[in-house]
Amino acid sequence: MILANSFLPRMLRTRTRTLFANGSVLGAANAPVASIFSPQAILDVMTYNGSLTLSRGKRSRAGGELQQKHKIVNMLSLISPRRKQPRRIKLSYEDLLRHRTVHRAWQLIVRTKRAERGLELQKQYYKMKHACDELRKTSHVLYESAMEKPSPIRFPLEYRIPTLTPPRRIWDATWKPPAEEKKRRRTV
Amino acid sequence: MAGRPHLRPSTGSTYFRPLQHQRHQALHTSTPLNKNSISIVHPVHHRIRYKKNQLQPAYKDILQTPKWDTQSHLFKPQYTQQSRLEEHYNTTIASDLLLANFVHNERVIPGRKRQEWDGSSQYHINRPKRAPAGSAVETPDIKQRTFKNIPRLEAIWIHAFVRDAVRVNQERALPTMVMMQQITGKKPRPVYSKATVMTWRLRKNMMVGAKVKIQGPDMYQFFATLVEVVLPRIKDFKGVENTSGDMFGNISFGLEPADVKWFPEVEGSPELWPNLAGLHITLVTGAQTDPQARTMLSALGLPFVGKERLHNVPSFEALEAIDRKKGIVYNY
Repeated sequence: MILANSFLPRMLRTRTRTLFANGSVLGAANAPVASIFSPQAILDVMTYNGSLTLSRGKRSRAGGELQQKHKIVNMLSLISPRRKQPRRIKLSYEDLLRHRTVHRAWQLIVRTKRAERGLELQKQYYKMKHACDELRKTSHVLYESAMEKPSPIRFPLEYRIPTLTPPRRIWDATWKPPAEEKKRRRTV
Repeated sequence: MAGRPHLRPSTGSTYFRPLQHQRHQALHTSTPLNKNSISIVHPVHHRIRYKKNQLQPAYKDILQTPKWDTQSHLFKPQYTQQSRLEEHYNTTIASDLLLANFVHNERVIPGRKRQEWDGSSQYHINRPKRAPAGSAVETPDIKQRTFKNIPRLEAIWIHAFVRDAVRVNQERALPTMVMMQQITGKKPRPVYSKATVMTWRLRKNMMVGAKVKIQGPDMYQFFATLVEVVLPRIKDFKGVENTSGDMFGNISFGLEPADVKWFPEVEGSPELWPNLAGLHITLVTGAQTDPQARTMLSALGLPFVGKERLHNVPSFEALEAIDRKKGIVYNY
């Protein structure tokens, strides 16, 4: 991408640079400074409400009050978009083309995988439907009993999200769930 | 007409969308038109507002850069690591849920809709329809559960109300806001009070908390941390109440201030986090009913306790009986 930085008037360039740390020129379109969720807006609200006074001329006593103000400004700077936005990667035109090609290839892989998964689920669904249709034709009694569903359906508590490495204690095949506790339960 | 230029956005290359400002202009307005927008030449009626200053050629490349491009100011590197939970869902849980939710010959269960007047009065003609029976608002239909709508976790809303922000000072809401950014990886937005309540010393537009919505990799990361690290370390936690839910597949629960400290980001430096508030967490799922949402969440590792609250909808048999009375018979 050939950035149009050099084409812009000097004033605009400097202004946008203050807005975006990653060097993007896009400032006027949706500048976060104008958003009501920006740190500046929060600061405005707080000063307007009188919970915070930030004036240059006002003398403040050394100690707690000033420290408190610094704390607030620090916290606001933590959530500012400048802090979160990394600098723009500078790439030559050839590198940029390479980057985009790799990106498209990756998107293609993701899309193909998603389509494959969808197809698998589709197959499974129609197989289940077909099996139920056949069972209904064969035996009504068997069909009725097959249609009964437990309620509620829950996966076991011991069902874990798999990890890349094995656990320190290998799978215990003899494990049995502990007896139900009668104590009063706290819930969230 | 001659000599007046027709300003149009340049379309650029094929996969770049034309630059548009997404707000539609009202047909009539008593306020002066925004001077920044494009001039309206007589026969042309622009329904979409353009920011005229962005039509200058210098902006073209930058404004039309898509979000996924590294050169965009909105670019965020997303796929920096494998999403363990998402992969687990895709490879294992999705097909299990398809089987668990499968109902043979399922029909659409209609939601509660606005009702027609019986026409006994002449005033019924232009009167708005009656409110739905048993509900103030319409509810959506429950469609057949197929391979296309397997429930999945779609988003997580995290919200915090900081009581000290009202009682003591508004700045008390800030640590909670920063903490939410730390544990979610996304910038939260402040929550402002809507009304003035004198007895609570609450004034309108005071900052009283923060909220954030997370989706995609951030969401899976947060949920995995919650389920594997935070909840097991809460001493008296047994599970989320089965009665929780908004009927349409969204489950909510809360964490107390003492529970929040178990997030790894907070636990490492507790002295940096004074005055933390508890969190309200809402799990937005693609399930159409709460029981299905709970089944899905239990597969992802969230425990549930208490008596199951079933969805209050007419059963398949009841719907079939109604149809039989009307003379409609289904041959499957």
